[in-house]
Amino acid sequence: MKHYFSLFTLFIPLLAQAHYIPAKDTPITLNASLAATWRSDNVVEENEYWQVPGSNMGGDAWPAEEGIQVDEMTLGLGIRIDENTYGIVEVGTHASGRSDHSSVSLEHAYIGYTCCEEFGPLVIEVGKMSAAFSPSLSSHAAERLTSETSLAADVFFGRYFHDEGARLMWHSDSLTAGAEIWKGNAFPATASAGYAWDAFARYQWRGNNFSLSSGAWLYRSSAETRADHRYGGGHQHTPVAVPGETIAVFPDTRFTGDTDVYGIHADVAYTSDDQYWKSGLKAEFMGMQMDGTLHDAIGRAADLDSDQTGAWAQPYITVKNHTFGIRAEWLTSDNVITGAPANQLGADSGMANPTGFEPSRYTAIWLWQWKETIALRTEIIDDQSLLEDNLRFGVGIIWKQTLWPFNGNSHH
Amino acid sequence: MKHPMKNTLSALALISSGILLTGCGGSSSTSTDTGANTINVSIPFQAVAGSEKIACGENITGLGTGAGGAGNSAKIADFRMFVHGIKLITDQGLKIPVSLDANQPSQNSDVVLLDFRDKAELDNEGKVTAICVSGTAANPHYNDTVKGSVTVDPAYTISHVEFTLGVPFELNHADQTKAAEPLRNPGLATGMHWNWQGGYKFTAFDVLPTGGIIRPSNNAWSSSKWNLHVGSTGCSVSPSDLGNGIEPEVCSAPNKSIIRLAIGTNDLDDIAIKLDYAALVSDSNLSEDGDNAPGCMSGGSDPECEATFEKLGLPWAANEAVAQTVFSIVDRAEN
Amino acid sequence: MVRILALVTCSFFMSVLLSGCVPESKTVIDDQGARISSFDWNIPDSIPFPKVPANNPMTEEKFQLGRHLFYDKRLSSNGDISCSSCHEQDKAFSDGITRATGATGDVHPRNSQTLVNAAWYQTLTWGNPLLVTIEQQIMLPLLGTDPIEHGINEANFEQILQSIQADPVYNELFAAAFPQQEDPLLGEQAWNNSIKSLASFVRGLVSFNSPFDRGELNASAKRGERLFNGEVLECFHCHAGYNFSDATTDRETQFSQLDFHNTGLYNIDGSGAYPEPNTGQHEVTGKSEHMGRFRAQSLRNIELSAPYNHDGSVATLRDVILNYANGGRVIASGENSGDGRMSPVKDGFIVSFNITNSEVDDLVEFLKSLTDTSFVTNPRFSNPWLPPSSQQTFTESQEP
Repeated sequence: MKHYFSLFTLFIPLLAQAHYIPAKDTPITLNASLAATWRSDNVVEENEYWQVPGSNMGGDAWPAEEGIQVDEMTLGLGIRIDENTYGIVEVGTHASGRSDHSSVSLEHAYIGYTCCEEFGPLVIEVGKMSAAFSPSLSSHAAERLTSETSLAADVFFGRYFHDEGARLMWHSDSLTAGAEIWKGNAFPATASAGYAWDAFARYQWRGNNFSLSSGAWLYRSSAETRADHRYGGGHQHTPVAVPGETIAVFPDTRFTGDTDVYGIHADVAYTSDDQYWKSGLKAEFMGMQMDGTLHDAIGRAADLDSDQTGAWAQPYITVKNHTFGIRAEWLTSDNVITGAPANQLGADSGMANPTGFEPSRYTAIWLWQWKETIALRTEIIDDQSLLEDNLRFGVGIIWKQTLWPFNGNSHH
Repeated sequence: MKHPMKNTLSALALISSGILLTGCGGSSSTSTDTGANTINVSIPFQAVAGSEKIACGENITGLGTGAGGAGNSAKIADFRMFVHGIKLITDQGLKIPVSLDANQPSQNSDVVLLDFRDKAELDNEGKVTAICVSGTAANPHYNDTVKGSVTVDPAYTISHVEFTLGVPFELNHADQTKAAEPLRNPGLATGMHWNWQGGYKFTAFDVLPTGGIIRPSNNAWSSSKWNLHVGSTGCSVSPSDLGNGIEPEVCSAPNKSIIRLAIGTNDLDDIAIKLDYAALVSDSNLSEDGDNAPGCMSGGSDPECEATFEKLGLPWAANEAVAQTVFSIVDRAEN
Repeated sequence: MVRILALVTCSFFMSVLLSGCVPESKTVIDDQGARISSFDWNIPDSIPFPKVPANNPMTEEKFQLGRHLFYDKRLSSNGDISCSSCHEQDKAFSDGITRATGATGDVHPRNSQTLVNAAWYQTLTWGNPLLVTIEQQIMLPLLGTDPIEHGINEANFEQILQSIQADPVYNELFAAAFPQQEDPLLGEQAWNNSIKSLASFVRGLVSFNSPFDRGELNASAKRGERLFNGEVLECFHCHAGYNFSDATTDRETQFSQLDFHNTGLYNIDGSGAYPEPNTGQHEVTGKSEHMGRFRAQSLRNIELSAPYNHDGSVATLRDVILNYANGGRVIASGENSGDGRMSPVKDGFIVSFNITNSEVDDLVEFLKSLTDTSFVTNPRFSNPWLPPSSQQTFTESQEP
């Protein structure tokens, strides 16, 4: 019991990654969450493509849309199989720009095994999972302060990271280290180019009022003819324009080469003695390197050497049930494209950023934990991530509940 | 201990063998001695159709299986071919390449254009205005002889002569307007350009059968010229590739027949190579054409190619190559 | 005290994040001289330059010399055929008839194509994977014997060259086009120079100024464009890119895959056979899988080049579209009868689709928007031998 309790406490800071181990006394747990937001504006016009200048996007990085959207809905089942083994299954939906893309999908299906507490414990998880290396990447709209994923996670990782793979973690009192190996289905990798892998380490310290969690990670992958599957990649979607307008067909540029991303993150918080208020700062910084070739269907190819950085910093203060926060985000790109079609491929792929534009975005949030399982969220977003500024508001609702065992508490 | 007798004998032996060697040209030298085993080689070709010589304006009879088996009569429209890779082969199987004389007309150091059309029409300036079919003057480009030189040890006995019918691969697909004669088009090779494969016709043996050519399966079809254009097919090479240093792929059907002829006990000086057109078309009906181009243009589904390719010793479609029956060695003095 | 510490830690962290290793944004594009050319192609910036053979760089002087030769009837056996006899400017350099007849009466087995943007094709002519440069292709109409087109042969090539040499206009043109040669017109290189200049002229026939390029589509054409780019018709798969042909290559293309397609026009023997001699790529390679494969034509100025397909056997654009809608052509009777829809060697994209009459009209309207009237009336591409008064008085206008 004591072991499991300590395991639990270890994993509390990792709760943000939706990563937990079912307790022995609750062998089956079922958790649900839902985040839905009404937004006042699109970030891009309907039937335009969301392409942040200087980046090569893909995966599931869909643009924010006007109106009501279900940002995310998940239903997760955790089963404690025996003393050391457990299984997690989670299904969910994500918002996407196309009705045929947003469907319920199996997001997690994995088995975990813990052991070796003499020097550890060690945890091994195998199956279809989210990545654990970066907190931005495993955050959910129902858990984090903002409804929109950070730009860095959107641009570098296509918003979500669900892949088949294996993970090994080692835990000590304050230190966690781990490594993961992936099949390569998740952006920015492609499965045809071999395995992607990452390694990470995290340090946690807890004092009377302060808590600190900080870590670093490295992710390496390769891709072969990687497409932007939001809009292109073999099965082209031809958007239908309003009468009187024409729409350009999405240029299906591919990338073949290596993508390496490294990151550091920190989460500092101070809680007052009476726990009346809490203030803190969460931040993550990522650097990405792309080294390979941009090419397209008519045989044009140009070499690409790209160094990009992305960062977000989110100071916040929580007073009783209300949290006020600001998230500031920045992206930079330093791209070198060489080859006769460099101009065209640079423009088509989105990597060209001739004015040296540096995207940024500022979000101010007020989150009110109205009931234990329901929160209301209001946001103002000053979006300067594209060449044209966009100011939008969001009003949303978050519901998180442990459905079984039914005691109203959500640990998920 | 040195034996004085031995020394003298050895010296004598050396001297006498030297005399013998220089004196003995043997049966393997022809024409003139150019010194130190390099001899000139001049091999004439005699183009005939059975017992008749190939000549312009003449009605050549007994060709092929047409006219109820008696054979058609026809006039020559074009009668040219390219040869290269001329070699002398010793009775031990050693192949000695003949260096072509690049200064001779109608040949360069790589290839020879043989043109058996003896007549042409010339204008005041000596330029050709018509060739073969209607011609009263001598064709200035008539060429029936391969001229070159070869370095051969007189001790060898030459048993065979060999040549390849066609143009060497690298030259076959090069730019024709810039090629050195006799490969230049327009130039000596005018009319030997092979449209669809971008190379040269290796042979242009085109005749005009009396009464024309019909197609049994199609009443509306007719033609006047029965062609035999042998060339490489299934090629995937272009001059621009060659120019850019891109390795060309070999053609799937090079169609270059290597002809090897035994010269028996004859001197090279005394032999000629006979090309018998009647033998070439002996199983062909010159008044009919089954399909594709009139005559044979090397297509894999051109029915007239089956018999003619067989006679030339070339494989065609699924048929393997067999021994050729068109070329043979004859006495130079005859005909 | 603790709170101050908290604040300090917070701000320290933030400043570390902000100041440390956050580089400046910039993009370096090195196109390795892809847009450097001493010849003024006069094409929009978005169109890449075409490939030009290293041994025949483009110059304005060669272009003008080639233009004179293109329209010169002396380059034929009967003195009555020039390149323009089957490539007329007002028809985007096609001839409006099913198949043309040569100097000696031979009928060409295939339809005369337009010469629009010939410089951007991977291969020339309808279905020959070997003809990679215009210089190679030009040998065929001039010197070919099967069929005889211009009819230049052994009996006349010297006289034809003499008549060119005798014209004082050519003296200047040749000297300007080949300044490094001592005697480009009278010397050994005369024929080679002529072929090169003719190729340069054809290479310079550029057309990128249609209503489509200017963004001026009417409502019907816009609907047609959507059909063209849509997943039902999928025209854009073979008629792709800025030149509406997947057989396009340009200075930026490194890897070329030769694209020829069988569109199910014939199926004579049930195995997809096309009538001789027009078996397309198969005629050259002899491979059965290449039966009936032809190059996807550029659709620019397609309105002007009826009749259509490799043998001119399809009369109108509407008929072309209906053949695709059926997934192939059915020929009910005659020696070429067969059901092209059933052809086993038909290209995988040729599946039938439903299309209404008004949709066909819209698609035709879109194809018409690809007509570049400035190209067909541009005096730069017209016959220089005509007296000036009969030439158009437009100024050159290729800029979109």
